[in-house]
Amino acid sequence: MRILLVDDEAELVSTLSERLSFRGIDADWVTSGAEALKRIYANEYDIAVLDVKMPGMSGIELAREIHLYNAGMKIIFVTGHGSRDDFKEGSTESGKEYYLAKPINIDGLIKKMMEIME
Amino acid sequence: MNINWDRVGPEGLAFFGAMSASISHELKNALAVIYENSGLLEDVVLMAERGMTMEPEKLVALSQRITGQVKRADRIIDNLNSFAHSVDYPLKKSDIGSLIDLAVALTARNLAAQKVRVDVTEVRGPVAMMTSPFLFINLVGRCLEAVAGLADQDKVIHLSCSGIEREAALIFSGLDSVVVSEFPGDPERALLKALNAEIRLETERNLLCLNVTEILPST
Repeated sequence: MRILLVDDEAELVSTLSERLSFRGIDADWVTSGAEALKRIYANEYDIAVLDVKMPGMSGIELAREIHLYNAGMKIIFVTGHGSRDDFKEGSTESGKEYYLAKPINIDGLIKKMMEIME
Repeated sequence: MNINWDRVGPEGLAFFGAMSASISHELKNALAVIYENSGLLEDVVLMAERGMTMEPEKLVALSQRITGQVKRADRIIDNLNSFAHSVDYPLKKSDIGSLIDLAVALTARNLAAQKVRVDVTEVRGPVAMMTSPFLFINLVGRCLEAVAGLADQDKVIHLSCSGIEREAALIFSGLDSVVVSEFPGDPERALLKALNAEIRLETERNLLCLNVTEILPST
C-alpha cells in the first residue's frame, strides 16, 4: 500500500509519514496541491490523505484533479472543522472519499486505509 | 460616535465569526502537530524497548518541535484574547500599531490561502488615539481582504502607518492595481463613518490610503 500525505503543515505530515513507516506503511508527503499532483503524475499511489484547507489549491479541488487523472484513487480528507457537512457540499461525486478529523489518530487512520483497500 | 448599527452590527458579527473560525482552525493544526510528535515520541520509546537504538538528538528534536508548537498555540490564544477584548469598550484610547498588528495576525491565515502575506513595514509613532478597537480591526481586516487579490508578483502587501496630531494614516502598497469591485461598499462606508475615517485610492501609485481621525467623546 502506497500513500501520499498532503497538508501545508510540514511538521504534521513529515511526522505522520515517519510514524506510518514504523508500521510498515510507505507514505510520501508534500505540502501543497501542486506538489501533490506532480508526485501523482510520476508515481502510483493507492490512497491520498488530504488536508481540506490549504493555501492555493484546497483539498477538495485537489481531489477533483486527482480523480480526473486517476478515477480509482482513494481519498481520505482530514479537517480541523470536524463536520461531515463540509465535505458533502464541496466533495466530488465519485463516492470514493472518506474523512477524518484532526488531530489524527494513527491507528484510526490505518484502520480506515485497510477498510478502503479491502 | 456616528454608528449605523443596522449596517455595522451584522457585518461586525460576520467578521467576528470568520476570525474565530480561522483562529480555531490554526489552533487545531498546532494541536495536531503536538499530538503527532508526542505519538512519535511514544513510537521511538517502543522501538527502543524492542532493541532499536534511541538517539538523544532525535529526542531533543522532537521536544523542540513540541515546544515550538506550544509557543505557536500560545501566540494564537493571545491574539484571540486581544480580539475578544477589543469589544470591551465602544471607544478607547488605543495604540494603533497594536491594533494593526492584531488585524494582520487575524487575517494572516485567510490571506495565506491566497498565497499572500502582509509585511507591516513601519509604524511611525506611537500612534495612540480614541477609537473603537473592534471596528478599527474590522476595517483594516476588510481593507486587507479587499486588496489581497491585487498583490503584485511578490505576493507581499506592505502596510505602513504614521500618526499626525490625532490622525493615523495607513498606506497599503505592493499592489498591481487598486481597482476593487464594489470597494468601499456599504459595509466599509458604514465603518468609515463610525470611525471618522476615509479611504483614498491612488490609482497612479497603486496605493490604498486609509486615514482615521480620533473620535472625540461626546460631552
